[in-house]
Amino acid sequence: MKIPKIVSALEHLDDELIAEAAEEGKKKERRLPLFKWGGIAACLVPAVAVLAVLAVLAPWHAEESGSGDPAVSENVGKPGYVFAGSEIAVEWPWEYKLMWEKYYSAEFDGAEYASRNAAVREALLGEALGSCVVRGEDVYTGEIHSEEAEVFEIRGISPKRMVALGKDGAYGVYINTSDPFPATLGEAVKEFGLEEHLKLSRFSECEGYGEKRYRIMEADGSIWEVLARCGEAERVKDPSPSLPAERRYLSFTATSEALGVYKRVLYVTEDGYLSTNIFNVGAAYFIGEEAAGEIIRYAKENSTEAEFEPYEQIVAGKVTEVGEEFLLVDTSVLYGDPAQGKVYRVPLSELCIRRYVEYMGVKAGDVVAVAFRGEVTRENVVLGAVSIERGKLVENGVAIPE
Amino acid sequence: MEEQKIIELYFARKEQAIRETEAGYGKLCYGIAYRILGNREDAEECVNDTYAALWRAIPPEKPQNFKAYICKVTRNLALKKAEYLHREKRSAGLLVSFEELEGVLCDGGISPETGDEELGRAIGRFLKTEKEEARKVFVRRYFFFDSIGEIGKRYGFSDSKVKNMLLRTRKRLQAFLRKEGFDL
Repeated sequence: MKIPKIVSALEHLDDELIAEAAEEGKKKERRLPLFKWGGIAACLVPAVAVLAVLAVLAPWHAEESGSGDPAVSENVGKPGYVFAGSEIAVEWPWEYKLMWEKYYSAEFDGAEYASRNAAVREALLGEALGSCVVRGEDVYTGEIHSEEAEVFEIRGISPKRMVALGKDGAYGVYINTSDPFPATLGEAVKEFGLEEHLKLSRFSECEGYGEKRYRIMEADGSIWEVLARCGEAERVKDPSPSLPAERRYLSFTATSEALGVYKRVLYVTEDGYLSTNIFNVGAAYFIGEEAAGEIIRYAKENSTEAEFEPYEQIVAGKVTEVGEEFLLVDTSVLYGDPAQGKVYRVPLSELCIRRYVEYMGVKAGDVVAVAFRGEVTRENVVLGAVSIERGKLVENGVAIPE
Repeated sequence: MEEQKIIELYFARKEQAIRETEAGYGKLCYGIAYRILGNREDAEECVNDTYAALWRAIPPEKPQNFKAYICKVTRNLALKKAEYLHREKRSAGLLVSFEELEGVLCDGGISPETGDEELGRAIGRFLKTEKEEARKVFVRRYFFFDSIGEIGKRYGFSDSKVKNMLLRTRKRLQAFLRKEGFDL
């Protein structure tokens, strides 16, 4: 992709033109026709424009889970399935929202917390801490809602840093935004329970913004031992030296349900910085070249090369049935030889899928793309589905119209 | 916090400057980065890079319009990152608005000597001759990379009205640039 000259040139527009357009626009005066397709189309959140996604149809599970779809495996990394022009984030009506989508912020025990927009299972919860009243606005009606939420400790994480908030068995991760961030690495590791909740496994060797190769490490215990010796490492005031531009470093993938993060990053740079975006603020600590070198050496020597892993996986195909428990998606329409396709089962217990199916009226015959973060079981059940979009068949793939 | 206060914090080298920037402009930056990069992880990384770039640049720079300045920095970093990711075949984002603009001014038709700044200033002069709503729609589409639907929602226009406005503005821009002596 070469950026056209005219696109670069627009960077030199006058500030006043940019500031003028950055201001909020006037609100629509007409009432949104909820419960109609036109209504929801008008409600698409403006933040998203995924314009091309290379979809990998559950390739990596065919072997390990025994789904045994050779065609799926063969499609790894091939650009045969292109989704274009999509808007995937929807501002859902209030009744379709999860609690942590309704209430972005909360006050508890004298501190302010912000939703991380991520669910946490009850199994990860610790002690009940009490309750608080949360308030949120229904953007469609302007109505302010409030309700009482239960507050729980998240196992291994100081409630001064994060809590789980919700009710009736559904909880979201909230992070403290009012107290000063830990000044030393030791405090951050301890208070956020990083050793327990952040498994350092997949990483890439990087130079500047370039990723040279991808690797997977089995055990991260030795790395945490090194970091334990760096407990006094202070948070750097100026974050710029810790950023990747023009330096060599390892970039670990940082995913943790307890911390409410999915595929963020933790860098360890050759010149001695550890920095990460897993918190609500960018955090960087100077651990020294020696410790950083030890971590980098250990990781390289105790890992194996791996394939690039896309941010999310996608199953696309034609809906053959909308059942009580599952949405059935047949991928055969994407294959030259339909016999190569399979029928995947997407659980409707995932609210993010169910609400789309119900609200958008997805029916048999529709073409959809389902993004997911979990696995595909032997029974072709797609676990961890996070979004679904209706699209249309085009040559070589599925297009999601803008 | 007011823009000038935030800039003062940067000049005083106080880390609060970044927190205030995030609080006041974080969503704006994220929106720009996300529309260009197309995924949350890269967008968040880009926003963090934006904060770092601001920290490095201010001082000595003292932006007259902080909001516009931060938009430009974010857009610039996101475009560079998108270009890099695309080169490395990791791209999840692709700029659909490119094609429309290339219809006005394809690279092959521009003299290599024409500088970005010269061209950008000319487009700015053109936009100031346009009606306010046409100007805003153009900037939302080609600077912020909003979708047609997003622009319609923002300004209360139908999608077809937005498309028509953009089409007419592009045609007028083409004529303007020719008149200004750009060899298209």
